[in-house]
Amino acid sequence: MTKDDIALEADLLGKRYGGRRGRGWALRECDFALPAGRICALVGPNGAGKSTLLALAAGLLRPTEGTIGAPAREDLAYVAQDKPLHPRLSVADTLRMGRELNPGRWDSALAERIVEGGGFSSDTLVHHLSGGQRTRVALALALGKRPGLLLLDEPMADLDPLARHQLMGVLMADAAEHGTTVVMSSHILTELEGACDHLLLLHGGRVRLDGAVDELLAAHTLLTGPVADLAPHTVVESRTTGRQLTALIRHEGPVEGPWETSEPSLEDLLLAHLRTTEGAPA
Amino acid sequence: MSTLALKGPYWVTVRQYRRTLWLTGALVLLTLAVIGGLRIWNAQVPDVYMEDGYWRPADDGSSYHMLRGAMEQFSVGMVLIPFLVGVFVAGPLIAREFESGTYRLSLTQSLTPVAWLRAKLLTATAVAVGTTLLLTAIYLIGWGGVSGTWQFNWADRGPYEITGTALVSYVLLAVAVGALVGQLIRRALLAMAVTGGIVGLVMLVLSSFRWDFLPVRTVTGPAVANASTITVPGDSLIVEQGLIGVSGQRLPGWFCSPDAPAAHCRPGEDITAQYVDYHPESHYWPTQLIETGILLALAALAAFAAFRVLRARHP
Amino acid sequence: MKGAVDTAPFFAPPFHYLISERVVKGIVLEYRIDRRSGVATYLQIVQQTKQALRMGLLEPGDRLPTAREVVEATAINPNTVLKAYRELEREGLVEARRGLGTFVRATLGTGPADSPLRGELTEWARRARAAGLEREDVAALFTSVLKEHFEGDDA
Repeated sequence: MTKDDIALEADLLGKRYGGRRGRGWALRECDFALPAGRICALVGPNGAGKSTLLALAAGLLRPTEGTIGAPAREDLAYVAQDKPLHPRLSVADTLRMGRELNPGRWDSALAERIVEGGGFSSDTLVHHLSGGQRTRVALALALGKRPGLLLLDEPMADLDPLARHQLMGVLMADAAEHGTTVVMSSHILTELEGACDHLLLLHGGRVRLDGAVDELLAAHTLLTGPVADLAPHTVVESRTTGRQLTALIRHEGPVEGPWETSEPSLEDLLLAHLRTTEGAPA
Repeated sequence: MSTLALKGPYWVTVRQYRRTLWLTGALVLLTLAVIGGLRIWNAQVPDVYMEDGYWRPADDGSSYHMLRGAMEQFSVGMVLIPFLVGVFVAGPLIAREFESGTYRLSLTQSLTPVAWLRAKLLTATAVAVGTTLLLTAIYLIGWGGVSGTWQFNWADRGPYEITGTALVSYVLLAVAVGALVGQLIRRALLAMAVTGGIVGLVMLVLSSFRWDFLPVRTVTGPAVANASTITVPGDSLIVEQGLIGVSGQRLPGWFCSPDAPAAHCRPGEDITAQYVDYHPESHYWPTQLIETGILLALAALAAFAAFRVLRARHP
Repeated sequence: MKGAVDTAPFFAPPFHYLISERVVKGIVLEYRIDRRSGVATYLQIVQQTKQALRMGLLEPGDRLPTAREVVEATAINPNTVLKAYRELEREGLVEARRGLGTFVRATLGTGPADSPLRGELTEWARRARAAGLEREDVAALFTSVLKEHFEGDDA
């Protein structure tokens, strides 16, 4: 894979807030390379460093150490978790702002189509919008810019299931049409399952899992059966109930033994990794 | 307020603060109506020349007194402009973007952080300076009716700043200080208070020292009981006056009291002369220019620091 | 959604398909993705396409919906759709024409929905009902026979 195929890349990336006596490291020693064109789920519990990573990628924060390689400001769009918008501008003015601040690349038709699906007048002032409507306007502003890399921090949190499905559809259609790379954070996996083909799991400010979803799933095996030595496989998590062993392993070669095996679901995989790294430094 | 010709971040800034702009425009018109109206009324009742060489208002003086009253308020209001500008720039224009998080929206569009701040500050500067100049023009309309009277001399606080270049310089300083403080203190209210404090402090310090910029002129005359023997040009600003002893030392006091014999005017001391330190009106522009120079240097420094802070934080 | 499950023909395997009411620019197919089915998303698309082919709802020359159309409606990853289409292409059922779309090349199984086999099955279902079998009984019976005869076949 050449350098051009990487949309977002971190090299020993670290961010500490508030200087020496601050809150400590929000991110530490993060290394990953996200191939272009992927829809990446950035998952992890609250406080894992997801928002910090996205703000670093958006160029809003400077890394304390290491580097992050992201496209130029013109070629990326970022929607923060609280969907910041100017409260005193109308929806139409907000889209006009997108056009004014992104000359030469603004896609009015796309932005207006996204907003039109929300069922509110474009004369509405932003501070009269509901949470879901704000999300819609924020996404319209981000997609209207036609970014190569789209960074979304908890994008669907304020949406009802119908709007969530619809906007996710809009996002996916944009990705299909323009090859946009999308990074979406969430602490609710079901929001992202199905839409994402790449996974970045953060916990305690570190990268715990990184890779294409199908490769990650194929590399792991969920097994149940008698208690026995699981070598040479890497055990992610194992539980013993009586004489029965349930384990999630990252297999090295074929799994041979008296166990019943199956491919884990994405949720199995995430939960196992989160439980075993709970509070433990990697 | 037409926003049609504006482009990019300038359009956004004007659109975002359009209510403040409308309010500013309305205030200017209101001021014009009040001062202009009073001035016209006052002009319709010309003063009458008295035999003893004075002028007095023709009617009961109500039009003149109302104009004076309005102009006194106007002077105070004009001197407050730098505070308002600084407070606005520091709070709503800059710090609130950081406080509410909308800077993350602005700084992830296609323009650089520097272009973003520049658009905000240039818009604010243009509006603030334009408004100040308009109000100054209105002030000068009223000025014609009251100048030279008590509290409306060239060196008085208020008229001094307004009629010269000082007030506009304070406005520029306020914009720059607001830009710096708004970024350093990302809380709107606190940034507003601190900026107001800094602008006020600079104003206080400079108004205390501005008459030390240029050396005063001194005139002396013989010490005579009961009378000042010294005359200074009519429009002068008298800085200090007193008596001079035999050994040449300056002593407080004006001339001797009529109730006391001259010899006992200053027991134990022989007074030889009286003196007056003053600034002639010709010192007005040099003083203005020195003050303006200091203010512009401070403003440039603050603006430079503001952009440095921005660049350091946002690549 | 639940209604669609209930009204699905009893012989429908655990995947579902919906036939669009509208025929938009030659699109006769809308995919329904069931995230809890445990069946990989791309496989659901493959299976639903094949089902439509078996039912004669898709015929050679028909254009499959574009990846953009599918993901806009289903909110799934575009690469999943492309993967499914590649699988269908590998099996020789469809072909991608550059810039035009993906077109059906072959038909599958017993042909149109009114084939003799369907008639026989309909007759069988009628008799099963007359014999007092419940819908679930019939489905279980059918599935077990399917399993017996098609064991090991990939979908």
